[in-house]
Amino acid sequence: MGLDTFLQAVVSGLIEGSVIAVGAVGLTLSYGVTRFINFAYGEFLTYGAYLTVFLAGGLFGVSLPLPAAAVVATVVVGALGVAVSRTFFEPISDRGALPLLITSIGVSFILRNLLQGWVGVDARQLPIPLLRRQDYFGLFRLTHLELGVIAASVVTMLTIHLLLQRTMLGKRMRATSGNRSLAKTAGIDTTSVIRQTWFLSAAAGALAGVLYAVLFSPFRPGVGFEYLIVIFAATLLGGIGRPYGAMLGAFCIGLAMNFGSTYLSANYTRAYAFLILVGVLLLKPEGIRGGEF
Amino acid sequence: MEVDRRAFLRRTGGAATVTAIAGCTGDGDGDDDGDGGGGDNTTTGGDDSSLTIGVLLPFSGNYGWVGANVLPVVNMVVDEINEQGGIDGRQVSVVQGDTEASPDAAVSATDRLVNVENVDGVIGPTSITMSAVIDTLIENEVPVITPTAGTTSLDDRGGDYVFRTVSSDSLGGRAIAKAARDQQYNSLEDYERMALMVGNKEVFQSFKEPVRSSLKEFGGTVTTALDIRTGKASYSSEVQQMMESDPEICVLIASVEDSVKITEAGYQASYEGNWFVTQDQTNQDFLSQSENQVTNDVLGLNAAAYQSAQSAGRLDEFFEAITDYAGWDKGAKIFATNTYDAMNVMGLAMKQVAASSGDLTGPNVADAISTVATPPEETVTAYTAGASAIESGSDVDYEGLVGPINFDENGDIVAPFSIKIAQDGEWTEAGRLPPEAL
Repeated sequence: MGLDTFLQAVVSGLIEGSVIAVGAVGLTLSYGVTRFINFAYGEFLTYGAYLTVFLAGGLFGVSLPLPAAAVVATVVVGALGVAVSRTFFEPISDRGALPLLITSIGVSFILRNLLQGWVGVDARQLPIPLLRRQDYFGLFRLTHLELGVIAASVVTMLTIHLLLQRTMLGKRMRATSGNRSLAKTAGIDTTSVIRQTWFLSAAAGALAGVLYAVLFSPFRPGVGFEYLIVIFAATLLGGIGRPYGAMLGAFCIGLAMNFGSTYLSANYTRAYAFLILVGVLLLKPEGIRGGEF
Repeated sequence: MEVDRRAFLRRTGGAATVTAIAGCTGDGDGDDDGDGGGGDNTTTGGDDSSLTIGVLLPFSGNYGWVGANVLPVVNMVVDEINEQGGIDGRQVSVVQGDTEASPDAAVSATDRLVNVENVDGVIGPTSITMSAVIDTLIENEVPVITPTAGTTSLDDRGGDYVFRTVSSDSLGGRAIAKAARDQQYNSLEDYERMALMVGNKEVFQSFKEPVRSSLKEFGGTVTTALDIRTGKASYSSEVQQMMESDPEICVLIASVEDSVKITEAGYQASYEGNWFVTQDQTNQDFLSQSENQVTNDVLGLNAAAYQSAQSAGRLDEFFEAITDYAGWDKGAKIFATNTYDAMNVMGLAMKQVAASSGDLTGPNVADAISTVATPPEETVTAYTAGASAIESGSDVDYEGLVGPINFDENGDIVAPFSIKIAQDGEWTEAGRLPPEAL
């Protein structure tokens, strides 16, 4: 195992980190304004991936090109996120984090089993071509699709950065995250901000699901729930509720999983993420980026 | 079959089909998700004096297709037995025990079959749960014929109460090594350097040692033997590790889903060697989930059609019968022929015990299992003919659809293997391996 193996592990880590980053940012955005950990978040990934498969595969009578199917699925799941929030979480939003957390576990079961009841547990995959990895500068290899996943992730990160820093919604979100009652007193419609955040969060989850499905096929309805632990690890590593920390944490987790698989044992890929999660909780519960939203 | 099959189906088919597939809604050809449900329902009714056959298999979960493939065949033979007046005047009923392909569920399903249902014989289980339940079955003196468990863990445990109508993985592993080494069986080349990638479950691990030791015996080299965790999202690292050992061919022993991921990871990483897969993947399910550029020239092991049954038309006759009976779209489903042989032997063994005025106890039936399938007695190929011969005082030798069904001292059979090669999304036969070649 020489330099090429090392570089390949770095590249693979960055690719997987790209998927985790989109998912982690979505999760952390919703935590920032709602202040509870949403265990149903994994289902947004699953619904994103499955909806894209069906939209691209012509299940609803139209067969969209994959990018268009991904965009439509992302928007639909974003709307689903708002619907889920209004139905299950808003009515109990003043009862503290624990009832919300428990409810989110229940919502996760409901969404997952609804999907299973509808489409079964058969493995599915996106209609994408299988490509051989191309050599880049003689140093590492990756496919055009993997390159596309990194690009999509970077664009998503930049969009979220601009949204948070340059738009009124971003400012309202940051204000609501910092102090909800103060934001409300200042005239911000926090309920509306929370709904918009739910939309963004679920949409980011759906996009992460699509990117996951591009890289790791075939998949089953449990895919999002199983991947949630990895996203949690990244979110906590970055400091929960902090989008930039989540991005950083995601790439750390992606790299750790791939280095562990390459140099220790490939049988424990997700265990490395779990180890980091435990380590962070023990040693630095505020995350590596203990700063602001 | 000597019974007038069409008349028999007219009489029993309609109602029996409904009961046979009740609770097994999947099409069960290996690509079913197995959510058949209803795994613990009694499918054929019986009274207190009836004999009970327990079908101990996964009816739900990812391996639910196994139960869905086996149960209709058991019911079809049971209906044939009952049409002949049952055994010793007692009707035969069937009870399902859903193992869910999980050792825990298998243990409770077995306890229920043995202690609550008081089954007189068991068809099943699979390799996945064999280790978990074999002690209970043997200690309770329950005769078992499994059409589905090739596991090597049974190699030295069978012969008294446990028998099987499917080849041991010891033989299957040997067949893979032999076929890989010898171009006359694989039609491509004499492969010398071989890697192994083996899923970390008993059902897969069972193949590992037979392949490895046989390959050495046949003059090959094992470049690496990797145990892989099943159900992972990606196997890029494992494939990279396998490729670093520079094999000419890699034997892949894993589930269809993992095999798709692994072969695709090999393609993406420009792996230039070939793949050899086991019975679990040598099916349309595997090829339809992968692209042809990945699977072309992949070699697969499969049970070969038994020449004698094929030339006599018995295989086609069975496929037609079970297709009509179960409402399947095709008769040649995995384990269907093995089940037909298992249930016929079970029925004939019970008939033999009854005819010799013995009690239908576990030990007596288990003793008779070998007796009714051992030459050189009168050869029979179905229950009705066998029962008639037994009633007229003859000893019988059941000859099956998968092979001559002559159990050795460990309750194992030998059967021929077929080596398949994938070409443009279809499996075609590259060569045939008779048992004597192994």
